[in-house]
Amino acid sequence: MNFLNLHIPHLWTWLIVCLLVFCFVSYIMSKQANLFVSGRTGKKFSIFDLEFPASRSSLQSLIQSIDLLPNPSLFPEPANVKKAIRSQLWLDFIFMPAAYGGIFLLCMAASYCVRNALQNFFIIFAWMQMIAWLFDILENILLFRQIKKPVVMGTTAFKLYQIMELLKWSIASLGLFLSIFALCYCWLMGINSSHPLVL
Amino acid sequence: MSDSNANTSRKQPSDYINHPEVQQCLKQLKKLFGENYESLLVSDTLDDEGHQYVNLVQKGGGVLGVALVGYTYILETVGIRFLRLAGTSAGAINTAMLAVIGKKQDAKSPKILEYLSNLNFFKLVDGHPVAQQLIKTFITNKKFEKNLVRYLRIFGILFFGSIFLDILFVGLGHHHGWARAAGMISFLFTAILFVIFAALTGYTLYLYNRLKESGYGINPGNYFLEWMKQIMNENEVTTVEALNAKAADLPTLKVRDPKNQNASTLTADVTFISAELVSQNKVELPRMYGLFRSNYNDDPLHPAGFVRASMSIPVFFESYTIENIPSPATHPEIKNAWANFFNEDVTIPATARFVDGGMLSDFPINIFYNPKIIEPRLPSFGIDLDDSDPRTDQTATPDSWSLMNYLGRMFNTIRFYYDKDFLIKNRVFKKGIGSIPLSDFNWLNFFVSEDDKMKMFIRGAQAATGFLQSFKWNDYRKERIEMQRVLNEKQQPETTASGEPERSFYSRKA
Repeated sequence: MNFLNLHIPHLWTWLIVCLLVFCFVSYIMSKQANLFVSGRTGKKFSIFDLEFPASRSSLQSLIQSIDLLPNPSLFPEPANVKKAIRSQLWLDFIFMPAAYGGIFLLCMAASYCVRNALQNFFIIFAWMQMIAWLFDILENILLFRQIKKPVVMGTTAFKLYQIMELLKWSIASLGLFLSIFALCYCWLMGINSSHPLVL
Repeated sequence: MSDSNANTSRKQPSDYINHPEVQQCLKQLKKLFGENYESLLVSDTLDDEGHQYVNLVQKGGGVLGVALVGYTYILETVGIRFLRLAGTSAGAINTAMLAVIGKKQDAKSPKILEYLSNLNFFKLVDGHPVAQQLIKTFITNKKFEKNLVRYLRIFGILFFGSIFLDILFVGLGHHHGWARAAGMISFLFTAILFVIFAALTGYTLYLYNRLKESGYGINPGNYFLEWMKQIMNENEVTTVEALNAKAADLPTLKVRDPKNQNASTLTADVTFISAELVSQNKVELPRMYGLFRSNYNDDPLHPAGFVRASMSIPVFFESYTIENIPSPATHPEIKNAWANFFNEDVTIPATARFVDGGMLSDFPINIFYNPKIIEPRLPSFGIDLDDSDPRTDQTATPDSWSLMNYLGRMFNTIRFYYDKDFLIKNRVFKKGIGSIPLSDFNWLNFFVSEDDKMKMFIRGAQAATGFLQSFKWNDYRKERIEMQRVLNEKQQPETTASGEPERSFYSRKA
């Protein structure tokens, strides 16, 4: 496990950089999301509708329904909606290192405060963020392909996509909250890398 | 569209028709009215084949609508046919099928049963899978609410208990080494509970936003719309004009007493009731088609949409919308239609949004009322779906109602009074209504088993049998004449203070 236990100089500075990038990209993405409308009535949708499609055909029907947008004066042009989704997916490639990198740093920071099994636990969680990152990249590739040519997903592909999304979110959110709670506890108790908690 | 229900094997139309209890109903009627029901008398209006004609209104009630088919099957089998048809919600579905299948003088029930047998009711619940599962659990698991409260309570105890332990261990950790380690474990446990809480809250908010974007309808209702379109298209009803033509197409009719009456003025039509929320009106479709389109050719509407509009159970289904209503500024005929139907200067919307007609008129028998007809040539029959459960009836305990009982009672009083008021003022119409007791079925249970569908069909058949055994056309006719005579006497135009003649409550435009 030692080879995974990296010493990261200026960890907190890097964390602030990640946080700033995260906030900046999130802001741009939220502005882009205003263009996410589809169907005859200009129904709003979010990136979560693309990440968690209800059925095998939901993704295809959602993307196809963008072309049904009726009135160009009331709603954006379908081409502009698709362009906004693509831009958001490209921006996601900047968002990903900030988000998963930030959680990685938090987990590593938590691991410095503890020893033995708990340290290994946080180190594993830190490196698992790379898996979540990989899943996010795969998701974006699939979405790029769906926007280009919407198709009904196969049963296995849909199941895998669902599992991938579930794992991605579970790894990231557990990593984030476990490390934050652990760090809070360490600060409260005066635990740090010089005086770690030994279980 | 065809699919099988998972729970039991799918029933065929012959299984319904040949069921011993349904056959028993027919035996009873044959015993009373003869082998070919030749002594049955329900109407003075006949066709050349000897079918007797009645007007028919069917009540809404979700999946209980299967019972309506059982009822109309018996009516058709004994030789009754339907001149004017009206219905709301589930009643509109059976009404639509009776209107579009075959010719007026044909029996439609076998074909209706075929369509229903091939329909997987569960697919009508075409919303998000999580919502589908929740609805299924809510409807089929009677302990759902109890269990939900229990799980939430357990989660709450765990969450607040772990926060309490966090605080406790932080305090103890300054004095005991073991408490420092226990504190870390407790914090991590709280973090896991927090992630679960955040995920559940986030997902609930996401589903709520989806619901909001869908106009607060859980299920899009597209599966139903496509199913109804397919049925109409199969029967060559692809336009509103075709629906009107088919509903109005009559064989040669005659009356029993041609000296005093004639059948030449009899007309037929079909009406689906819906509630329009933008202008806040009860809309009768296709009669009020002119409110939404200036003619049949520009941007035409498919008539299946009218049935979809009538069955849009609020929240359960998305509202049905009619968009692009022509501007009254450029289309005076639209303005005239609104003024004509609603007799007021309403703001004409660009988009109409419909919910279940049962919101306003679940049993629209009043649309068959014509004050100009003194002597009826045919009766108005109605089929009521009675799902009131005497075991949960709260009428004896008005002082101890829960908030839900109280709000439910208020809502139902408002919802049902429109139809009830008509029947209070025109009591004889009650004599044409047969009621199907269905208190042991849930009207929203779209996961209904094939056996329960069969039971509902049988209940409908039995209710129709009971009704026909007691219905006396001559008595009904006499009472209608008497009722109209008294009403006409009462409603002689009286002069109001302003000097204008008073308008009758039920006076309608021709």
